[in-house]
Amino acid sequence: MTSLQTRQLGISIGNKKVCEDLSLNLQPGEVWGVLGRNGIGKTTLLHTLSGLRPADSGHVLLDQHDISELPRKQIAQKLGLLLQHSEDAFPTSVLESVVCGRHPHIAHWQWESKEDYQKATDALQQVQMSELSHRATNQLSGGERQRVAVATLLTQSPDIFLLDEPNSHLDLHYQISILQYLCDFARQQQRIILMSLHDINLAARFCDKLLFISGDGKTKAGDADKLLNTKDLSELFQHPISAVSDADRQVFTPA
Amino acid sequence: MLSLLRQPLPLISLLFLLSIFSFAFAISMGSINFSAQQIIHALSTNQSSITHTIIWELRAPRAYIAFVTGGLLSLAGVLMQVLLRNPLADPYILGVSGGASVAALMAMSAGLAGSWVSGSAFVGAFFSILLVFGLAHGQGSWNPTRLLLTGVVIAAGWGAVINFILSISPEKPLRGMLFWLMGDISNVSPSISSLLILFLGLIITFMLARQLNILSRGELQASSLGVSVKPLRMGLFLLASALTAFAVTQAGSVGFIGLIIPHMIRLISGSDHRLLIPASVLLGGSLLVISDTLARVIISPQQLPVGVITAFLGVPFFLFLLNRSMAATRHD
Repeated sequence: MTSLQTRQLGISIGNKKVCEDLSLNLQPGEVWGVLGRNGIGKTTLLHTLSGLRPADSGHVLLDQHDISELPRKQIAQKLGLLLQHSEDAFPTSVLESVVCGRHPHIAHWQWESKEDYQKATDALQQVQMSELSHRATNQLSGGERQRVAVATLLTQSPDIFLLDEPNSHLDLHYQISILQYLCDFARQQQRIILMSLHDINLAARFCDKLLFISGDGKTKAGDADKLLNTKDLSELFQHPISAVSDADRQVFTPA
Repeated sequence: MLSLLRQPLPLISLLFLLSIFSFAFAISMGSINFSAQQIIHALSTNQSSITHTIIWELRAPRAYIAFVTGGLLSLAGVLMQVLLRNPLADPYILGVSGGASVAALMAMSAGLAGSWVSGSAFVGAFFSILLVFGLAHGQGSWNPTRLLLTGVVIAAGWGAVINFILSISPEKPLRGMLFWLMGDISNVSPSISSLLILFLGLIITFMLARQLNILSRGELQASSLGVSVKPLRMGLFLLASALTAFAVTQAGSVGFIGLIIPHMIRLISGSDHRLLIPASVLLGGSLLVISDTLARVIISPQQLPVGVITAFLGVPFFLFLLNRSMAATRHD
């Protein structure tokens, strides 16, 4: 099974430190959440973990290999990234766009096979976009675009899912149903998810482990139920946060 | 009918037929019009009749040059648009033709002609490519915006030099210069090298087509799907520039083809580069052959620069397609 680790990872944007000496060990079947304030470097961390950006110090290890030394195609077979923004210079159909997820698994000269299209169709069904599969991508709403991006990632079917704000643009129903599907899938199939989130309650609901990024290179990683307390959260967001108990779980609200 | 053309086979077959038609049109039209019979007779027999001479020494070579030029420009247009992820990009946007034009005009004002002019154009084009490449590469950051801005500014600089040369040049070479700038195939001798580079470009880009599809969705998305973006973009820049340099060297700056042909194919059959690339080459080649034929017959014996005709034909055709596709999306 694929693993993702960091060794003494240091990342900075200009002279602002995102993390310092960060050593993480992401195990198959785990769902990780990354929490932190705006502009603290969550996206930069995700890009570094996927090898799109070099680390300033330390290493990111994909299956014990330094990710900076692996070819892009080999990385993409194991690790997928959901981007915060999607762009389409020249629109295509939704299905054509989703089947691009198969790219790392197909040889250069080959065309997508029937099975590849089947995988794309299945993924579109998972995000409830089947009816729009022939629509042009530039005619979609923000939420529909986000679901197409999730379907592309499912079609890529990596062992490690890095999700940059997976719930952005999604309505309440899809926030829950898509995250639920992804997290169940990861746990059953022994995949890894690491996602940046802004909603503490979604993090509480879906994540086993959390990583807090609090600025100046300070980070805190650990079990979700240990880190999710009003003191740590208020410190992280620099805003007073209180907890309301509801049946068997806590709901966090800003004061 | 048009929906059938979204399929690869019907579209490519139709464009092949169009290419053959364009050659037949080019061979039969001119100061003397030939019938199909005369042409077949002249092609099958090996005698040195006047028909044979006109077809083999004048019209066929010219049609060949027009086709290759149109193909080169269309392919370069597709590549520039995906490289810069900008629908307004054309082969000349990064200053390749500007560099070529300055060198060609300098050669003309020095009283040189023929292969001296095209040779200088080639040198000028490559000088400009290296200049843009070096400047855009500068600090190691190489993004489409920086490349685009560098190229556009260099092109503007060449434009100023062109105007300077035109304004100080004497009356006599001026007409030749203007024709060269507008794109002109009347005084070109055919060479095999541009056909070879067109073939080479077609094969390379066809192999890269799926990566191009993904690259047009952004650099981050492309790298996260396993495309090595940096070498791909560098290769695209050099290849598109080389294709443009060959086209400009043999025919001057024929406008419009490189910008519009890729969009026409996208409107007809979508943005998949595996279809877009060969279809654009065939359509661009055919359209330039037809335009060049019209350029020599419309007000004969006087000849028009072919760039004028391409725009006259292309603008209404393009607007028709654009309108049609917009109507189609409204009915969706």
